[in-house]
Amino acid sequence: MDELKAKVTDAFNNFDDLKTASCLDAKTVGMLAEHKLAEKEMAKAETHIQSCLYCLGQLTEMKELLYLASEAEPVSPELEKKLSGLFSKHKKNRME
Amino acid sequence: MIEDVILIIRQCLAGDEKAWNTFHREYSGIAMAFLRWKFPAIIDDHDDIIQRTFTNLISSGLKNFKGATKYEFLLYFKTIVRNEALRCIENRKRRRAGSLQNSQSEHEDGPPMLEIPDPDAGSRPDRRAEAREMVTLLAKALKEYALVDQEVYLLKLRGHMDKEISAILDIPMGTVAVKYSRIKSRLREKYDGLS
Repeated sequence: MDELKAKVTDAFNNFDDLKTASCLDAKTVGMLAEHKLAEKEMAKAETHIQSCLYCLGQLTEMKELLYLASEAEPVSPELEKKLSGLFSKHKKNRME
Repeated sequence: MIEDVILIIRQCLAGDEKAWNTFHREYSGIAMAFLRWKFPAIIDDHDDIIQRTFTNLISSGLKNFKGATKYEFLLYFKTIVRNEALRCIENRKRRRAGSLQNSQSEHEDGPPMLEIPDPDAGSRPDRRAEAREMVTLLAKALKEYALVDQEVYLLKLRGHMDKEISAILDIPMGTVAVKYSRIKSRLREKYDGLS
């Protein structure tokens, strides 16, 4: 990775410093990512994101997660069995 | 993805086993996809990390979630998976340091250890000042571009391939390459001017 790319990648961890009171909430960002906002709201949100690195980072992350969710495949049957078992184990622990 | 995950969470908390099964079947796949993308170096631990994530969720995580939308839960869920993965990396490092101390005198010429990249390297204090300067530069430079161009640039930096970016943003692959190359050259010009 070249120097510039490394520096820009580092910058991602400092996006939180840029958050302001006018930044978008997770619901708006999510709905924008899924194109579920009304036209007027969408235009307003996009105008804000266009010049807000924090919200751009949020939108990018949300789109990335929604993409991963759409690409997700079932885990192995062994792991699925273990995860199912957690419920009864937790119930039993609470009863004791 | 479950549209009404908030209802499913409420049902899980009320003791509905069927809801729990729906929940973990859906979200374990998301956790696996996230780990494969973000933490490929610890692939052997992915199952354990997922198991710990869901143990956390059932014991307190679901109860502690205060959001009201699937988007908030997705971000919350990702944070738990990520934290479990980082804990796993820390444990690996600790174990490695311990075994290295124990075997140093016996295996001087042993095989090289697996290098695990630190995904949080950028948050170290020594790099924060420089990163802030870069954020300012980046914010200024990106403003000149259309939103989709900015998204291409950020997704590329986050390690996605053109094919993935094309799917995420629903634009042709060729467009991804052109947009990224254009912003990259422009940013490089600005950065060189700055330094």
